[in-house]
Amino acid sequence: MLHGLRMAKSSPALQFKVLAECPVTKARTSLMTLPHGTVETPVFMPVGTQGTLKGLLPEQLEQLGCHIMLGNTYHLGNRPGIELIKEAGGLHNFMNWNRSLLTDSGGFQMVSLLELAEITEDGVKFKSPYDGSECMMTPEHSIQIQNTLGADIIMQLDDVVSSTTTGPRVEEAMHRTIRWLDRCIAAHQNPEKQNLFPIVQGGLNPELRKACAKELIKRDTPGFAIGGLSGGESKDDFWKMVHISTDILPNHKPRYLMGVGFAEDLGCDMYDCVFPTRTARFGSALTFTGQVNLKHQKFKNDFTPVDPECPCSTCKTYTKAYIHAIATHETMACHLLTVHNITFQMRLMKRIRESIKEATFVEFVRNFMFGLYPSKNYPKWSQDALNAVGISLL
Amino acid sequence: MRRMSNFVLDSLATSSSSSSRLGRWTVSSSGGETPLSVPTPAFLVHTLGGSVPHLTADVLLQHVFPEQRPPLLVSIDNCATFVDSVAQFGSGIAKFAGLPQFPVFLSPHNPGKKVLPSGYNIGESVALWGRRGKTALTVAEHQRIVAAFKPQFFQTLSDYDISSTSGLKRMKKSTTRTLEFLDKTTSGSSNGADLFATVELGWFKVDGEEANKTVKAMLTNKLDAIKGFIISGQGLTCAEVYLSGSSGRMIPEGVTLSLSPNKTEGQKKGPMNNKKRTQMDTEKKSSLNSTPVEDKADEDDKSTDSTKTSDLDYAAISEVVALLPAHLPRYVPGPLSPYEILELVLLGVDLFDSSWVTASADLGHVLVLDELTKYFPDGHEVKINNESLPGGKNGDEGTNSSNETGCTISIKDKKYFSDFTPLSSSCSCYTCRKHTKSYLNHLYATEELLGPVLVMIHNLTSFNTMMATIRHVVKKDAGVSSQTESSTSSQESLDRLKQCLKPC
Repeated sequence: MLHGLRMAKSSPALQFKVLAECPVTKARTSLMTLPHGTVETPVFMPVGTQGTLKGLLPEQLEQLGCHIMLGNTYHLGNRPGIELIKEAGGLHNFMNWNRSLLTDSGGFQMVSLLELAEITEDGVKFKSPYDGSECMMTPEHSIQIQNTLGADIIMQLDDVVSSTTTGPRVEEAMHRTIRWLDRCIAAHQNPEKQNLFPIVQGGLNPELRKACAKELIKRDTPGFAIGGLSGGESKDDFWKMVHISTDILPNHKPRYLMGVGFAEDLGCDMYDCVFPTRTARFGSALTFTGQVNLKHQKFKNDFTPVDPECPCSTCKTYTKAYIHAIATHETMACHLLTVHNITFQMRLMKRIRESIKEATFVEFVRNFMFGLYPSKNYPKWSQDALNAVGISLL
Repeated sequence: MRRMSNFVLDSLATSSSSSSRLGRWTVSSSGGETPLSVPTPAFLVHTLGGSVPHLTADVLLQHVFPEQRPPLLVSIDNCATFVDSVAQFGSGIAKFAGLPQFPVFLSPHNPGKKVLPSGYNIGESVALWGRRGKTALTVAEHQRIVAAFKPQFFQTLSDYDISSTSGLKRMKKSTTRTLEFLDKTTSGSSNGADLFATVELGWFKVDGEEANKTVKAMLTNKLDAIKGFIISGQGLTCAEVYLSGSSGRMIPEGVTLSLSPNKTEGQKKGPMNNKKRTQMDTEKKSSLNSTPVEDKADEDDKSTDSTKTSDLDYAAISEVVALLPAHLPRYVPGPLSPYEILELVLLGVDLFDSSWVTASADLGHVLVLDELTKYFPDGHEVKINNESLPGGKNGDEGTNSSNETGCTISIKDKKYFSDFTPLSSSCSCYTCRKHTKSYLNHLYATEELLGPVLVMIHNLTSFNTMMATIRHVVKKDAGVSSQTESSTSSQESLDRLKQCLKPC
């Protein structure tokens, strides 16, 4: 099912080549070449919020097969600050991570973390967390910061609205996002080296989503992101919005589903989520049969590895009993589970990619879901979403 | 198969100003592979819960000890919650903790602890203090744990509740009970592990005569069974502290201890409540980490300031060493700085632990041995010119601070904010090859987990280098070295070494 050689020519900094497509669903596996290397998609991008991935050496991340990770503009803009990163020669240099990076616009954190963040046509007005003075984050400013950070993929500043918001505010935000995209494009100093992605908004309104996507497509950007869907919306609504968006977005460009760690079947290529790393720090390991909460007493004398088939160093060296013994006491427990959970995500993605190439994606999904729900009590929204793309579960 | 543990003295110092020794300690690993030869003076690798703090096994093996196998210092107090699991596991603590390649030295207490509550060694047991409060350890229980953990060496129990303000009655109790523990332990099974006998420094501060008699009793009756000595109590304060709640957990360090039980709810007094209470010394308090850390009531003290005046009791340690036979190794546990270690080597101590390194990683105190390696390249195997690291002003010297503050720098200091040089220009560890002071400064400012990981890698590597250098100078001092190109006398070398490691 090779797709051929249609490539996005709109960016000198990104080549996207679809290798195979699932004949039933919208899933596809591709190669995305960025200035810092090639990434196989679908890809899970771990989140290295403050210029580090929670206790792992950059070398360990490389060894785990990670080719792209995220940095958060808002956090890095605060500490260590843009001037320092500029002096260091960019974020890659500062962290000594030589593979690809993606930064967000900073907008989401501001709105979710700061009090009195007020959105105006100019930008996001907020109070500085340090001295309480009034600051403004404009689309131009966000791009300027991201240009300095130097990530391979950067995000537009969008008018983020909570997915539980309804009413005219949603439409207002959608239109403003499009206007802000144009300002971001105009402000972008580095299109040769950095790819600016727009973000499809529109809340849970199908018409707004379609309208937004259509407008964004006109701007001929190297790829697209789907935003506003990692909050408190119900899963039923969530998958429908993704589905609608990917139906409209062009096939030959990558799609990044922001803040979500799954939904490959709906045609997205890139994912990020703090869940695998965060849950590791709370003592939970991810496996193909579900989550394993190692703090539970039942693992006290379980001398087997977390996953006997997992090739990670944690599973090769440590037992559940030992991780149980030190979980939450020693920072090392976090590292052990972070290594395992990232490995898990990498293995999962690899299996997905392989199955798409071998035209066995549907079987893969069925077996995967069955592994998680052996008594077949699948969540309804999963069933609906999968049915919508032609997969019926076991 | 009987496990070997031989300590061979290669040389004794020839100069009158030092009693240092070079030795070779042959130890086997729990894997039963060929025995390892550990050159002394040496350090045991401090662990918590059986693991080197912040470092997973693969990081430890890849980046700190790719070939060396120094013995791990494992402490029962911070493993108390999972002793049963280790027993059931059946293959010993090293394997349980993912480090089967390393020999293990099992001590009752974490040497990083600087304060232990007084008044809880009663009956036939010794009080250990861990995460869940007090564990009372009898000899029988101790032997059960030794059998489960399968260390190559273990330390006998001692009644540590002794300080300069103790009365003679307490002194007598402490020495008598400690001798009893030794007696019972040596007559029981040691499971092939070698026994190190514990001598309490505190005895010598209360009643020197009785202390002498006690040590002599050990030497007379039990010498066959003893394979080394631990000179315990250095830097330890045994104080009456209030315990919170029914779990008996110690109040976090640095919180002002109240003498009046009415001030705080739910507190229990120690059993000796009719005795004169001692408030903790203000001097001691100033060296404690003054930030109370919630949920870490029994965590180690974290002072590793190499600029503070040492409170090492050299006189007492000397006195003990003088009583001990030359052919057995001596270990002084505790978070000793490089300078203190050197001083103790000169007094004739052979073994130490890296609890100082553990504390320094958490505090962001970085060992910088540029001066040392400049003068003693032999003590350090690989001389490397660090490629210029990515960064701004990497052509500059960076902030040359190792002269200012002795051999450590505090990476949290603002002056390193935009310093793009490596932690140490003469170190070839992962941290120094890949990262800058600026990045480390950022990691500590943001309290990121990677900070202590990187500093641990660097500090352990540097500590290792430091030990090798100390051995090199001791070798010279003993006239063993056959370096012909060296023109400095051994005394000059010693002075220089002291200068490099000296706190300001």
